[in-house]
Amino acid sequence: MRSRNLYVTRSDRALTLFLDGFLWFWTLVVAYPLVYVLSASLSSPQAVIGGKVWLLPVEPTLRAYQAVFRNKMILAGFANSTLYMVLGTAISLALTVFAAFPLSRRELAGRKALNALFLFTMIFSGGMIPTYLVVKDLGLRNTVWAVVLPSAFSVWNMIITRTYFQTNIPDELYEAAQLDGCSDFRFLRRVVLPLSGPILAVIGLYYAVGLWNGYFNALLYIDSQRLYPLQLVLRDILVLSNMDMSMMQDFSEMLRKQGLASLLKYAVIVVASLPVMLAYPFVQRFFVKGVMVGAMKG
Amino acid sequence: MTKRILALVLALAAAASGAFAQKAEWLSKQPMPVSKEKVAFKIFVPQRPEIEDITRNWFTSWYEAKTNVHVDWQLAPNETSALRQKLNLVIAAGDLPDAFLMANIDANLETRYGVDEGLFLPLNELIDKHMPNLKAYLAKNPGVRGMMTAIDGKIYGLPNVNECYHCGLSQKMWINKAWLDKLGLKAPTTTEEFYQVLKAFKEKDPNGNGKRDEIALMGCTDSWQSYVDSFLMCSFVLDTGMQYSFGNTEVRMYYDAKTGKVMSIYDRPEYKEGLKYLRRLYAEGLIYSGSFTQKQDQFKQIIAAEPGVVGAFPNGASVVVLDPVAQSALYRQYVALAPLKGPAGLRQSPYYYDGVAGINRLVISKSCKDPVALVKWADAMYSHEIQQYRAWGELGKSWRWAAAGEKGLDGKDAIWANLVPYSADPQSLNWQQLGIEFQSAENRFGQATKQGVDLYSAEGLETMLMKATKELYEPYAGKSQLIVPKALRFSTAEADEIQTLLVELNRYAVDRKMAYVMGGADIDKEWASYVKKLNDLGLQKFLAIQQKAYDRQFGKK
Repeated sequence: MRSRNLYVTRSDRALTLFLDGFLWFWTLVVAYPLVYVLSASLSSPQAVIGGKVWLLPVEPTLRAYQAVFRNKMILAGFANSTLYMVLGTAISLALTVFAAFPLSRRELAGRKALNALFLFTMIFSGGMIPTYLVVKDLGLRNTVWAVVLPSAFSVWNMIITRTYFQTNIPDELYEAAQLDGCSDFRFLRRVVLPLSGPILAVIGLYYAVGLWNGYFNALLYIDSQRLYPLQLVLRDILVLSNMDMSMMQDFSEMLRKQGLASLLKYAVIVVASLPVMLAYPFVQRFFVKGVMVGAMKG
Repeated sequence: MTKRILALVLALAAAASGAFAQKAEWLSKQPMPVSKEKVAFKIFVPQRPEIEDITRNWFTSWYEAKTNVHVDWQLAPNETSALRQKLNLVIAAGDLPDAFLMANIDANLETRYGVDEGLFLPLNELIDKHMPNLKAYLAKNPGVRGMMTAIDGKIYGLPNVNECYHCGLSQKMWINKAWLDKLGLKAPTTTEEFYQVLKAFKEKDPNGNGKRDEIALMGCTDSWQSYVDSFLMCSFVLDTGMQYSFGNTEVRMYYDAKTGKVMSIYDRPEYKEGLKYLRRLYAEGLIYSGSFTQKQDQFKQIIAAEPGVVGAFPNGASVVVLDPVAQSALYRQYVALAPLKGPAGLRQSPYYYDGVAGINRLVISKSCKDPVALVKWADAMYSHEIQQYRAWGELGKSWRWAAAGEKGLDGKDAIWANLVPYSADPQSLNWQQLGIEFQSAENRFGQATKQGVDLYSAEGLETMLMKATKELYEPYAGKSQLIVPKALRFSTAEADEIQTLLVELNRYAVDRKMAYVMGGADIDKEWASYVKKLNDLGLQKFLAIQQKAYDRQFGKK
């Protein structure tokens, strides 16, 4: 609410004006690529190649989206990615909470050592080939589990969650519950989790976005097209547009591929980022509260 | 049974077109099935976006029934760096499949995994004993065996054959014919005439918009054969351009057929003359200043600008830059220009004779239990017959034998015709470019083509490129100065040494070239110290290693 009586100095006004301008400028810079991608996905591929699209769609058409939804590989990838995201997020959240809760309680024996052990894995890891061998020998290769298990647990997210528990669930509450004969599991379920909505939402989003955008596990461990996540399918389609020209032999083939790539490119980007973009506004309100509160006090 | 029916169909088709002799040659010499019992192989292969699902493809099941070989596909990503990553991982983890198909195993990986570590199976004997189709091809094309041979004299990989005629002479220049006509000029034939034409382009407003916005000549750094200097340099000394250096550092070399020496162009006096010519063009504003730095995207955009502002640009094909459908009017303005005669009378275009065969398309690993069945399975693909099924699909549905009177791309009797309409969607009818390609010149030219087609339409593309190559470039295919084939093999130690020298040499040579052309330094004053510096950086050592590798691989034994 603006008060008329309040005296605003010239320099204040100048600063506000400058900040407003700067923020608007920055918003435009951030928003432009998004708008461009959306417009390009709705324009004819020829117009995009010819450089005629710069803000609004030119020769609007839905052909690209038709091609995307006709492409069985993309649809299968979409379904797989959704499965990996839902399943993986559930597993990751469970693991994170089960590690973070005990570590947030002071009376846990060997807590320091356990913490150190977790931290150790943030700095050192076995490396790609040993990990590959473990996954292979456990018989996980070429299964859904190879995508969701190897990177199910993030120490970083666990530390954030632990700090949140430490600062927001007072020990007194735990003692009171114990006096009333409440078990640890019951305390976790009835007291801790209901009080930790924000952090669960935030961590869950971290995991979900990571799984949705991830392709590396699938790249290493998946051999069958039926298990390919969306990102891997997209990668293969999008790189077609910057082919190695010295390998090129056949022009009708090249035109066909460039046509496919330029037709699908932008529509596919929109389709692939839509789920995450839709989820964001619902989780966003927890964001500042969730992560920052934990971080500041810890 | 299948064979008999096939023979019958063939006989009928042949009788109809009267080209039986040609077609008999098209049949596979490999007896089918390759194994009495069903055998299964695990094959590592990149996932191809043009194929919907390799396990449910028409050719997959047809070929399995025919050969009695089942393939368990181990899919890898198609994108080059991710593919390499997965390949290295699978090998490092000792998780070897029976074979690697299209795994992009280059000469260096072949040396590392095949020669040094012994993980690949040598195929020399298997080829001679069990691969009649490939053997016949190698007998006809003696140079290919040399390209397939690794540094230890063994063959670890089967080749991919794609005889793309116009790619063999891909260093092309495209000149604006509409502008030439308007100014009443003829297509230039010498470097001097070319200079005059560019000057006229620049000064006489050929696009007629009253502005001096014309760019006489423009190149870029990462399209196909579009370095601004290479085409022109060939009138002085053979510059193989970017055919083999896409996105890489390089030292431009050629093989002198008279002396049998691998030479670098950088220290040749002819190169100096060439640079002085380029300097003259540049100084008069005839070469677009961004040519040495801009990327293909900008290059395409400038050329696409209405009403046409570019007089000439180098590229393997104009279609890479302009779309024959969407940008038809501009596309039609540019025609191919023959190589120019230099002041010393040299007129040549590099002939990339090694482009016909790609190396290591199929590599069999040491752990394969039944390599004989596997090479037989691969061998059938070196016949035109199986090739038609592989690349196109079912006979009568996706393709057919040509009817009487149908003509091919080269105007001779056609052999087959395509029945599948163009589509950009992934499909399940055939393998397209997956597997081993055997696209020989006969196969490419034998496809029935509409005769008298408009050369500058999308359908006329292949015909136009073929004609341009045949009429304008083939007569000038370089004979005294040849390319150095890219399949040269080096030992691990040699490869390491080359790599270090290459980086420094490339940086210095490119930096000086730009300075001499753009006027940052005077070439006449600096030349002696420039050559000395090249030698200090190890140019002669670099060439000695190349020479050794060349003699080892292609030299007479």
